[in-house]
Amino acid sequence: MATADEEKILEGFLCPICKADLKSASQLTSHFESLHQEEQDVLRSLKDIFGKAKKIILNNDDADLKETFDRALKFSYADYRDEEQSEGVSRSSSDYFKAVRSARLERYATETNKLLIRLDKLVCNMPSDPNQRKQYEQEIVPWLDGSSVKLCPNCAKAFNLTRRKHHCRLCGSILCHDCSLFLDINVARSIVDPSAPPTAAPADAEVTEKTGLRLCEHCYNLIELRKQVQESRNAKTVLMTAYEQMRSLMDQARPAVALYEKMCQSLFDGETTYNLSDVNAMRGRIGKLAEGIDLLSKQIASFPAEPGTRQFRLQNAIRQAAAHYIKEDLLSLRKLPTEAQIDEVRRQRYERAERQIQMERQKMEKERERLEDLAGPSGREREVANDNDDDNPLLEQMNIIRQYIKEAREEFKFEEVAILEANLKELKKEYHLQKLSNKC
Amino acid sequence: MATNRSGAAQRPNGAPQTKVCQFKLVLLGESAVGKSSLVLRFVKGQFHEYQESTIGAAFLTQTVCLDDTTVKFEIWDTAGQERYHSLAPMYYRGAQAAIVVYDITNQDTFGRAKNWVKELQRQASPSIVIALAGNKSDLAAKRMVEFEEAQAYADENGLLFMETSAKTAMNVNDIFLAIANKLPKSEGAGAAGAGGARRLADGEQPRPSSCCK
Ligand SMILES: Nc1nc2c(ncn2[C@@H]2O[C@H](COP(=O)(O)OP(=O)(O)OP(=O)(O)O)[C@@H](O)[C@H]2O)c(=O)[nH]1
Ligand SMILES: [Mg+2]
Ligand SMILES: [Zn+2]
Ligand SMILES: [Zn+2]
Ligand SMILES: [Zn+2]
Repeated sequence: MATADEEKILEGFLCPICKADLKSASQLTSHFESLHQEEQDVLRSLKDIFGKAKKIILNNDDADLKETFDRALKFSYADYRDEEQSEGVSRSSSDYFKAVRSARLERYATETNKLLIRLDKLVCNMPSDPNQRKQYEQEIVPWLDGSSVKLCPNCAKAFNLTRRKHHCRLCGSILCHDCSLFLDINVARSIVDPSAPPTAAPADAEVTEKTGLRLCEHCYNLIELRKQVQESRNAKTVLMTAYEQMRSLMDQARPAVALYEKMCQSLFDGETTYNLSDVNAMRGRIGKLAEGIDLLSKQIASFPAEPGTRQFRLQNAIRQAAAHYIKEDLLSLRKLPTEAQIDEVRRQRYERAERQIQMERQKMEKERERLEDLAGPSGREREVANDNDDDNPLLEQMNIIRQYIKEAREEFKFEEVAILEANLKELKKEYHLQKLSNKC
Repeated sequence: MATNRSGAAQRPNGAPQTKVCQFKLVLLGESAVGKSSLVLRFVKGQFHEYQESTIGAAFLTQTVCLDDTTVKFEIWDTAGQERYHSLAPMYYRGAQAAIVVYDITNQDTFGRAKNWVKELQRQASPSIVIALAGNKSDLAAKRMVEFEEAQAYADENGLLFMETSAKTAMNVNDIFLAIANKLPKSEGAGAAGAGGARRLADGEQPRPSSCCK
């Protein structure tokens, strides 16, 4: 930072009392609790002690005292003489071990974290011009001043004209070329942004000063470890891929079955929304999905696994669940009605509708007569039959919808077909009413 | 700007009427809301577009002058990342002031700020002065927390409230000054323990600050 002689900013796991840097959260906590908690609590506990003493003196609480004495007197070796001795006190050191280990792990995680943040900044807007790039790199990680460094801190060989000083781009420390390791910039990008598609760098192409970041061994190892963790986390086994494919087929099958049931019901109800061939096509699609699920689940079950292991049990459980799903949900589909059944249902329905229309017509006729009687013969003038209704907008609209329905059907979009059919029905009704009212 | 640290801003020697008080102030809030940026702006007058996330906590000091008092802030800038949450009580313990920061472009950070206020009200010194800072006010186009909503919440809870920007320096000095003004500076106030300012002993000389003109 530019301001040189200003007070330095302290940062780290600082003790709020003595400002020592304890290097990790757990070490700080235990330092604080063991060294300072007491200091701060001394006053309070002193008060507590005085308070108690005062109470005892004032209350003269001898009931309490008596009990204590009784308990003390009761304790005698006689009670224990005949008893078999059990195991003595044991002490586990695992907590101590864990504390030491977690402090180390935490420190290492913090350090990696810091390096990753720097790496992110480095690869984010890195200029391609070498000079600009050098400047940019030093803005993010200041380089150690090496004027007094005579030997490479890593291999202890002397720096000279042929062995030049270099800097680690992540920690700024000094090292020689032989001790430098290079991290491919594209690889670095995929480390800081795991969501980006991993740019598969050709394995044999050597990473150079230009295509990579010069790092010291220490930084390189931390980053490399991080990369491995990331990779193992993201790696998908063939098994997982097969399972995901199977799940996706199941996800497609569920709405398909629901739609099929709906279409079937519609046919049984004598509606004309779907054709028999539509529903048959849907059935075929579900069959295909079932086939796919069956195949994939068999594949999963036949993956090599030691009998008796968890993996083995899991693979078999997946297969069984899939088989069950196919049997119960996909193959138990309702049977379709025959062509004849459908015709029969539709005929009945049609007749019912016809009767309805007939009735309505009669009602209207009556109404008209009643009105005519009231208004006299002049009412007839309205009957200028406009039978030429080729350009009736309703008809036009109906034809457009019919075209849509055809297209939707071809694309198996039966949900759409249903909506459009309903729409068409509305239009038909509207048209019908229009005609009727024109007549009177 | 009060944090301009040019040499010209020396306090005339031996102004006898000036009291010197020292206060511990802690910054709390979700990671990346700009706590470190606010402190850096206040203490050094700087802003970094790429500010590294704080690890553990950072410690800085800054002195401001009120009419007859010099107030020295000992600032603890805590790390907002969740895994450091458990360290926070150590830092706000015994603090006389706290700034709880949220990012006005992120509703979640406001919710988190409310939790910090609640925690302070329960666990910190009862006389602690709490200020709420809605930071990044320069990004008003991406605002997700309404000024009025935050103001109402602050009023309800008796908090100082300002919208700040570490980037443009808007309200940064003001919020620290407002806190300094609200802190008890009389000798009687908080003679022992948290709540009162620590008066410097005769030998102790606080670093002169540039704000004394
Ligand atoms: N536009 C804008 N950006 C800001 C402002 N304050 C901070 N930032 C940016 O927000 C990012 C995070 O700021 P920090 O100060 O590191 O946030 P923090 O609260 O200290 O985060 P932790 O240390 O992780 O708790 C940095 O990239 C800053 O440049 C502001 O007022 N306006
Ligand atoms: Mg910070
Ligand atoms: Zn300490
Ligand atoms: Zn070397
Ligand atoms: Zn390094």
